[in-house]
Amino acid sequence: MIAPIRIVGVGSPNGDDAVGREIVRYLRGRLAENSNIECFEIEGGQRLLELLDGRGTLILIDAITNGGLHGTVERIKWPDSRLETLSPGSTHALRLAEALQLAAALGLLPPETMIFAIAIDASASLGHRAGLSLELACRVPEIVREIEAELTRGARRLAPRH
Amino acid sequence: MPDAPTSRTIAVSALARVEGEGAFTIRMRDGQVEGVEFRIFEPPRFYEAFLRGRSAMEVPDITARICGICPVAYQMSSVHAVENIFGITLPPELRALRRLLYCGEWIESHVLHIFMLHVPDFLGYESAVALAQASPENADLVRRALRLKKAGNQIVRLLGGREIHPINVRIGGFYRAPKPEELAALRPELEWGRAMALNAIAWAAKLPFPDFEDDYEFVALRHPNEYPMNEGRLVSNRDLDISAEEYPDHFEEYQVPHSNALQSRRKSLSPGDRGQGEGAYFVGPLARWNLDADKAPASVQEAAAKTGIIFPNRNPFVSVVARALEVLVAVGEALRIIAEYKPPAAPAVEFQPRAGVGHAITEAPRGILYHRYETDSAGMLKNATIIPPTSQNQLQMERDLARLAPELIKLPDEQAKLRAEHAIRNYDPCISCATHFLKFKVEGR
Repeated sequence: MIAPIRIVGVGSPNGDDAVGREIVRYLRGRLAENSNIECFEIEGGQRLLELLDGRGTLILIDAITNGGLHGTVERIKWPDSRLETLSPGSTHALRLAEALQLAAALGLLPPETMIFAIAIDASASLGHRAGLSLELACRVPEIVREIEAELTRGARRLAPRH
Repeated sequence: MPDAPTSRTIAVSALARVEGEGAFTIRMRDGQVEGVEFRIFEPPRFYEAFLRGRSAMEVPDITARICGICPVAYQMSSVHAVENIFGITLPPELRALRRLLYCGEWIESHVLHIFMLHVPDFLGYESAVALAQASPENADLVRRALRLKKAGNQIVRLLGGREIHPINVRIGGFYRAPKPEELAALRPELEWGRAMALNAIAWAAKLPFPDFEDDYEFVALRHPNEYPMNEGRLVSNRDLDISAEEYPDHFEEYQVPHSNALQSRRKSLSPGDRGQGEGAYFVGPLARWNLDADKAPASVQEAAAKTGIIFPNRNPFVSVVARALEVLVAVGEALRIIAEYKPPAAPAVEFQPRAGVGHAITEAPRGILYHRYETDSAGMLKNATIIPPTSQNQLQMERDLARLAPELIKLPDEQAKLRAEHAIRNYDPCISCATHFLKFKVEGR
């Protein structure tokens, strides 16, 4: 049984916070029909727990407001203290970092968990506009290629040695 | 030896594990509580103003956006209020599907609150993550809770079209009715959930409850034949027994300077003569169980009796048990409705818009939710009033904090904050809904 690769875009559907979801949509359109990659879009940490079963690879894509240059990508391998800054938001629902901690405590977190954190400019990006800002939208194909390259490297890492 | 302090301020500047942005401040002087402020600084969201001038057909979709935890409640109160204006009566099949959708929301919201938000307080953990990390048994408990919550999510996903901010409810019914096989597919997880809910009741009843009884006015819907969700008269353990239309005659919202949310209170016979907290009332699972336990299925009444807890119960900390009992009510009701389901002739009934005023109260997971709409002859909204459960419990929460304050001032600030948050979470407040969450400050001790 092939271990699943789950790619999850996290964020609100509005404004630049939706960049993770947009990337997942773009990526989904490029997947081969028999791909073992499953794509999801979620709003917060609660739903993440339902998607996980402790197997395979998890790639999360989320917007981050760390003061970094708009559209720059940070690759973070779980566990990492930088995750605390992801998806602050609702306190009733779980924050993403808490959901990852809880998933780890419950044995649900896959052995390979990687987060692509995409810097957005909070002051300019968290509006209630329907889509991404033009400059971020232009970065989506490039970020998708970076994720695909990571998947290829991951596949080599995980491939059986002869 | 220096003089003992004469004043202290306990302040929680951001309440954890509730939905939205809030805070509270307790001002003490000479060991006496001078004042308690439950402040909600989540910005106002203006939903009532958004609705003005829109078609009544848009109401369930717009109001579902008020809350990510209890969108079904907003859909149910809004859709019933508009249907009252248009003179729509639903056939039994559609009525049952509305109740089933509400069961889904009760399960997911209650399970989330019990296990992820409230139980850590009772057991002394700072969060559900810390609870799960503490032992394999705890981790298993949280895993099972998440599974039960998911069973509720699946109901909302099927009937609502999606889990969060559902889109399938419409004036007159639904856009699409489920196929019997789609509902039948939900049964195995709900059957498992029934056993889990029974265990949860027995387990919750053994939690350590502080002695905190008071003479509360509990307010909830009461239906002649069933545990209330979508319909019923509004009653209390005092002399209240009114229809939804009479709600504005008995309750009022008012502005307090320290909160962005309007607070709600019982109307006084002698306005202007109020002490702090006067007119407060208590809504939510404990109010419902206290007033409506006899309408719950016999199996749930038996489970309640086995806990050894006496109901009606006046200790707000026992709300966690009432919430667990309601999970069993909702799971059982969901299974019953699915077993009896016959697809409706059409997913919605025909109607003609008309001018009028409609009111509705339904039981959101955290208490009664009142909606009032006025339409013109084309069915366009002239105005809207929405009074969420957290607004209705706000004054009661302040009153509980005031009662707790003498104990809080004896504790170090961090412990006082946790203790106060625990008391607030008895009400499972949803501050975003009320815009009405929690920062904590004690002044003057």
